Amino acid sequence: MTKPAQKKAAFVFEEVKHCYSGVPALEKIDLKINEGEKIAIVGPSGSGKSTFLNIINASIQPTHGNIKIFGKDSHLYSPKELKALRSNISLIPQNLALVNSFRVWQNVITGGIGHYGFLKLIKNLFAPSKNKLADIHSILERVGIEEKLYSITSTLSGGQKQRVAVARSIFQSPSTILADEPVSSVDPARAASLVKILLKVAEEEEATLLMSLHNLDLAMRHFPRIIGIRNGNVHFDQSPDQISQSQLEELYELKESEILQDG
Amino acid sequence: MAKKNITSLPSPNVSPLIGKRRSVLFWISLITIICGFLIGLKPNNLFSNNSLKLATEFFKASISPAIDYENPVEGTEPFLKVVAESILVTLKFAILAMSVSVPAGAILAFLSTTAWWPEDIKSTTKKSLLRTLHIIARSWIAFARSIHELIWGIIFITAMGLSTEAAIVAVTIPFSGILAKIYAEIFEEHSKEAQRMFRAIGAGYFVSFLVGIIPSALPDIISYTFYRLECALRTAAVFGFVGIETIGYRIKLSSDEFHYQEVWTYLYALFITIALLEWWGGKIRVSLNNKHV
Amino acid sequence: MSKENQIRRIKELRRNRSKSTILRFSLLVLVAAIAWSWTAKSLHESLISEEQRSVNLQNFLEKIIPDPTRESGKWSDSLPWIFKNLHDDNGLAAGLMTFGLATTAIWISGILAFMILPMASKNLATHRPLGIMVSNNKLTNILWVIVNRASRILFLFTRSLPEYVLGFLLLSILGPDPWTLVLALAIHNFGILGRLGSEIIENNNSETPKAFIAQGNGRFNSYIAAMVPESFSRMLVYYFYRWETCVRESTVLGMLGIASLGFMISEAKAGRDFDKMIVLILFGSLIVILGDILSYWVRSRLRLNKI
Repeated sequence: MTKPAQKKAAFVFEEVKHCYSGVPALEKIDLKINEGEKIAIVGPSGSGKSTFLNIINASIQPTHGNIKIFGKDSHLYSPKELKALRSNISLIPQNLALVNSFRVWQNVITGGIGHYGFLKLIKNLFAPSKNKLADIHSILERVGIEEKLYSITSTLSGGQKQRVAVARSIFQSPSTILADEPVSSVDPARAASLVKILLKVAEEEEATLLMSLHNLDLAMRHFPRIIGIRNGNVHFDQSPDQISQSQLEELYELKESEILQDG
Repeated sequence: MAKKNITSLPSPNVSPLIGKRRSVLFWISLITIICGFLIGLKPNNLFSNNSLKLATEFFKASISPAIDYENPVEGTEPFLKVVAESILVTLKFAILAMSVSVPAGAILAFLSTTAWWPEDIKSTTKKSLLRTLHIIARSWIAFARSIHELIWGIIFITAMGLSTEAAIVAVTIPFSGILAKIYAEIFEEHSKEAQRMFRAIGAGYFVSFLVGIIPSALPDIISYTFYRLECALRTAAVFGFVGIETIGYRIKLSSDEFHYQEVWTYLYALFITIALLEWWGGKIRVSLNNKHV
Repeated sequence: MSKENQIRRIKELRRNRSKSTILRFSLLVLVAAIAWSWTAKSLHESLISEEQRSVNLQNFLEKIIPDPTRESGKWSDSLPWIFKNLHDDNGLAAGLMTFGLATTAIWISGILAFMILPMASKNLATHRPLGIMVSNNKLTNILWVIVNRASRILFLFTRSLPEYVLGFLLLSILGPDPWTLVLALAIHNFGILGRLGSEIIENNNSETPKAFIAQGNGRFNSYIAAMVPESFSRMLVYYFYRWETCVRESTVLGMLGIASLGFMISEAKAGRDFDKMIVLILFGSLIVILGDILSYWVRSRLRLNKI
């Protein structure tokens, strides 16, 4: 699934360390993420996965070290540039953050919220053009819920809601997709199908995909590169076939039962 | 229904009046009885012969509310027409007052809530500006609420003379304050997930609040606004006593002539209007909730 | 899918989208009602000319400046005047009266509502309390329906009448006695507490009250011994919330002509002592804010289960 042609560096961590009021969440991260890569980030809860993702879209400025985002140091971004940067990085949080009282198409439109001015946003949310609706319909087709175009979001099932969140991401036409444990609350079959959809979307949109996961098996099966984070450190950063069982066990400080359960 | 052994039931929580609960009830009652003495409540006064007689007369009239004037005068409008008109005037007053109070309350709520504030303001001037605005709005809301709409009414009517406008402004001041307080509470209680995400994908804080919070808070806001409309209707009735020709005005006129059957007709009319409004509000609440579960 | 087909499909989906008739209808009615209320003629034709009105306003604005300040031009002179006024008029007593009226009234409505509650709650006042069949006698079924409806209507009727109107009507029965004001507040709040209370009872889904009834206890036993203890603090939250509104309401009820703060305000107005009137109004506002703070404190303690 890798796309070897692209080599341009998107995110470069240089000795990044981050502390929350003195307590370190990340310690000395050094790694490079190229454009178009598909990466799973695994590790126990509280290991620093979310902080890692938050540093990538510059929501958090690391307390030490430096991160180059698209070739530029993150602290050198002006507020305007930062806004532009963020509008190109889409986000799928664990709780999906959908507006439940909106209809599905309106939720998809909110993906463009970083691109639109105020008036354009209002116009699109309440009086979208035919073409816009057709675009949304096509996007929903790609994630398989085009029939739900006009449904009210709160009436959808959990799996359908996840697909709306993915559609919202596609609508944003991002260069990077960050997904923070988007599948932790659904059954394994749905989780696998969502991971596949996201990988397909990232492939088609030529976007970089970074997904933090609890489920090791999903990561091992679908992602070409896996970063294991433990206690704020990169424990391994390899392709799945290079990762040894002992590395996995150390990552979770041996909880064999857990590994069995996940697998 | 035979009593069985209830000692076998679970939960230590279920015995009705133990410890703290009993002492809370005891203190509330004690304070209340002292208050009763202090303000000069005498049980005898409640049951004096005269008041019993008047009460009987008054409540007897409830069985046969008037359908025409008790003491018809040539040339006046038919009684039932007057009843209907007084209800319409009351409704009109309430709707007028609410249609000014709701936008004013929404603006005040926006100024007084911290829900839309950017979480990472760096400039201190901006920060202190927001704080000042917040404090001013909160204080105004507290002050506006603390003076009863009828007192605002007296102030404005004394200053401007009796007019609908003066009365509407008088109702709007405390009502917009109460609405603002509740709206702000609703904004702050709502989940901030969507708002946070919109911020993270590059939206401004105002837009993030507008799209991330308002749509999901709207059902609660509508429910509460509807309840306030009911209150506005009652307030409109009360403003009849300062001279606006709502139903309260008619009640006062009929009562002054001891036409209790007419009074009861007006009371029933007010009751039916409010009951219908509550029924309608209930329907709206149900369909809003169905959409959101 | 071709573009035309897609657009046709979108239109179809749009046509079949879920719509709430009641919400659309309500919106329409509300818009119409607002338009009607703004366009139709004024509710009260003012008989005063514009000039007279501006004279009145000027007069009022002059007179609300406290007497001593008007004479000396210094605001500091008014401070002792304010205290003297409040002292002469027994301001403290009026303030206590306001709190006293509210406290007694809410107690009466609380007790009455508490007694009617099990009959007004849909889940208790039925032949199948909390879903457990108790009797299958047709007559008792009908009887319960009647009892339930009647008590609901009683709550609705009492809360639909504003305190001030009730006070006015009671005045002609009881005369200028504190009972008039207490009962006016109590009757209205009886209806409100009844509604809030039956919501608590109807939303109670816990198993203990069910277990009570399943073990052969009556619904009243279950209400008192299981439901009330479980929702005790929530009931008290509403009790204090209504107490707070009673304080606010009792600042005006005196205007009906019974010695209390509202009466003093209307006296000052009648005597055109506008400066004094404003002082009394601000004093009332202080009392209401004090009541708010007290009630807020109690309620937040209740929410934290400290009581």
